[in-house]
Amino acid sequence: MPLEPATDAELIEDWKNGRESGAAELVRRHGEAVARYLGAAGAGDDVDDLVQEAFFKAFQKIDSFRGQSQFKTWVIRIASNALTDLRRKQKRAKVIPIDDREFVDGSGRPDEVLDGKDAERRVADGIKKLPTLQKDVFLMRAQEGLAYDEVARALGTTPGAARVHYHHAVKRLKKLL
Amino acid sequence: MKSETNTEQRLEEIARDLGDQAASRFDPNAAAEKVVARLRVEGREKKNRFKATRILMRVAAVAVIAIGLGVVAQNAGDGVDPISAPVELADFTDDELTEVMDSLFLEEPVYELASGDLYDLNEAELAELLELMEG
Repeated sequence: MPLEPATDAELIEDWKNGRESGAAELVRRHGEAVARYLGAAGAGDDVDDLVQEAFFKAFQKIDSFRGQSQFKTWVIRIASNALTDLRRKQKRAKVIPIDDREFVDGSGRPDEVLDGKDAERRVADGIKKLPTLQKDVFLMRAQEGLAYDEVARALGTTPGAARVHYHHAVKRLKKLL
Repeated sequence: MKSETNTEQRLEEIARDLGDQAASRFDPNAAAEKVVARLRVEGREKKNRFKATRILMRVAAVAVIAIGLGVVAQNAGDGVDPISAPVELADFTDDELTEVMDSLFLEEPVYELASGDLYDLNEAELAELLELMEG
């Protein structure tokens, strides 16, 4: 009979008990979701560094994780803070992030490609500029398919407030389509 | 109404596409190795830094107590009403010294304040710091 994979809670306990394999498995299990969030949130070339930073911070303060939300969404929240911190530092250092890349694709009719990619680029830019909570709620719903109550638990807010943030985000973004 | 839903779906689709592009470039195994390696090195460094900070705090606290007691002793000599506490550090018993020390120290610091400035803290960390400062 195949062994059941360890739950997140079991892996967290492993890490707390000094087993590095617990931490490594959690990164392998949820790293892509965190990278997906950061990619859409406008982290550009900093995605890898920020994923590592988020997990590193998460494991360092693992005792403050009480299981009120999923471990994955908790790390996404930390990644969101890490991205905000990085952008603030870059702003202070007057470094302009190079993430306004052109979305060039060789397939499809040129005008269709331009329309589709142009809309995508505008929306990508719009997501980056959303207030943090609107951005987090929108991306957790869009990418993770989370219900409002789960999003609310992850972000420390209420389901009603999460719903409002989502609608504000959509209202802003749909002007860009 | 239907068009509203379609717009929402289109926006969510774009968000997923953007995320998928980043996820496809991400290497989970490499990331896991790097995170564990960093935890191994910096976790140890942090412990050492914390120990050093505690030692410095203890030294500073002893200095403050010694200066305070010196002032009290001097005032007593000048005929100023002295407080009833012992005036020499040496007069404290081990238990009394431990009690004074314990009353001066915070619990484990929540964040590594020594390693950055206030701008490095996020909103939650700043709120926590303010709470600590307000007691």
